[in-house]
Amino acid sequence: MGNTALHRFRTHWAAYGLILLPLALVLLFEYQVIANGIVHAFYRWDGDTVEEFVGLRNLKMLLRDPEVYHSFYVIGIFVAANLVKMLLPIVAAVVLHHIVSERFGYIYRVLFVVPMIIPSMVVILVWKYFYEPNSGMLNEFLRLIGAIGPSDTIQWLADPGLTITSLVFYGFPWVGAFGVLIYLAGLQNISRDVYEAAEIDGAGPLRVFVSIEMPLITTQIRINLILMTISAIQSWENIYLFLGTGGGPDGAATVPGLLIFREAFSHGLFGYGCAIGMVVFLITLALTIFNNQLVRVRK
Amino acid sequence: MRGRPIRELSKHLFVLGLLFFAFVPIYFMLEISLKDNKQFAVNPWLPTMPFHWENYALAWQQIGGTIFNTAFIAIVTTALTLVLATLGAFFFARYRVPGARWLFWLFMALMMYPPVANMVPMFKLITSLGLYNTHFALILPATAAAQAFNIYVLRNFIEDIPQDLFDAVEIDGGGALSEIRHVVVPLSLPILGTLGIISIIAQWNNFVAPLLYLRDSNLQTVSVALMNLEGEYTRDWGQLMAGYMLASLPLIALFCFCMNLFVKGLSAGAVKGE
Repeated sequence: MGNTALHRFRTHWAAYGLILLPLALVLLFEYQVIANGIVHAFYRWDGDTVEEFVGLRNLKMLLRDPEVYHSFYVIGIFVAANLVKMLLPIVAAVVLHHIVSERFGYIYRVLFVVPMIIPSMVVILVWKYFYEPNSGMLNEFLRLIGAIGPSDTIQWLADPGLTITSLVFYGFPWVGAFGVLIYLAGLQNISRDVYEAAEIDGAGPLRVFVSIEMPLITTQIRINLILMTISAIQSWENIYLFLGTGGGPDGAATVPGLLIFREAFSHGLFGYGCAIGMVVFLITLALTIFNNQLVRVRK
Repeated sequence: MRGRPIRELSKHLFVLGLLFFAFVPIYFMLEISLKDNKQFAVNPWLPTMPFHWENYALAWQQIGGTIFNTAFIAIVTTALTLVLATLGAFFFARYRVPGARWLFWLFMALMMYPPVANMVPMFKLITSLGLYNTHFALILPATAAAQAFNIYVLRNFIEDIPQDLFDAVEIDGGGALSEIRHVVVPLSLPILGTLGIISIIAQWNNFVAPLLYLRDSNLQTVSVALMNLEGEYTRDWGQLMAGYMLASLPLIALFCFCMNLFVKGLSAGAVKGE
């Protein structure tokens, strides 16, 4: 027995050795950073020499800052828009799934992946060209069909009334990323028998979609919904690429992430940036718990 | 499902319509990349002769070096991420030792923490470790940030590997490392490939970290180089688009080599990961 215990002990040593490096890395580059962020949410901090405990001052400032409220309002619009944008990929997957020819089905699936392989930041830069007022594709097209005069320009990104719409619309038809393939994988789990039974019962395509297909991809839809919401709340890089640090006309499209970046790295308010970061964290946490509850109940 | 021609045709048309719009950015990027500014002003819609291939040479002069920097960072980050995550996932999948459960949640909890909240203190850590203006400032945080998700996915795969296979290695006197090398890695190659591709894509698109942590232009990544090119006051549209093409080509090449991995691996992984 003693021999086994010794053996187990030696195995354990090796075992802990396996986790040592990942753990060290995560403790330093994640937990230390998180702790530092939480602590400095209560500090006046310029990231350098000024480092002074100010208690709840950042929090009070934050609650009185219209920019903060506005940034969460903007992110709310983007999340709501993303819900609508989820529709086309679902429809695309269902239609793709119903294409009889296997050869075309495969070709289409590959073609759907191709646009996704262009780095997303390049896609954004190309769309930035589309929106460019003077020689951008969109205005050129409107001039071509005579919708606007030859020397008219529409400021897609710089007009306060259009900025957010333009940011929502970019990436049309939003079928890139993993959406279509994930739904398709779910649909392909439905066996032929189910379809044959439905046909014998005289169910039409809409009935089949509502009663058979939708329930079977709800898991995928829910996963995508959760991932989409969480990543939408955190995203700000796309806005930065389109509009720079300022977030568009009068900061119209400033989202929380961009606000953190601006307060910290443009205004030197590192502590305030940390405090806004905490708010984003708490909202993400609440949503994650809510989402998990939702998934568990439905299962 | 019997094919009724008109209904079948409308499905094809719908899919082709979506694909048409999905390919619009690629089309314009490619077509404009071969024009000079005069051709672009006259006709931005269709390819016009002569093709200005020198746009690519000129764009390469401006961003070529940064493509190598990005490739280096992406490959090192991905390799390090996968090696460490495999070790970690093996630990969590195979050992029921004291503290393992607790440690697992320590990793998993990180998936709930938004990276955006880390932006400011991470900058401080990078500078105080003396990593500012080095490629490690990008590689190490990215590797750390990827551990939770990669360990989560890989642990599920390793747990599904039959015990017999591990027994065989143990009978031959092999330890954990040879179990990983001879059993885990060969069996998880598809998922390792998928995770690897996800990691490379993420690094390719990363521009915030290089913007914050790199100062010297000879260290800079292609993402920041493209932003600078785009921000120039007088744009040469052809060169700009040629630059976008060049920055995309390595990922397109990767796609060509791993197409099956992409189409099958991603969907399989998605179903399994639910």
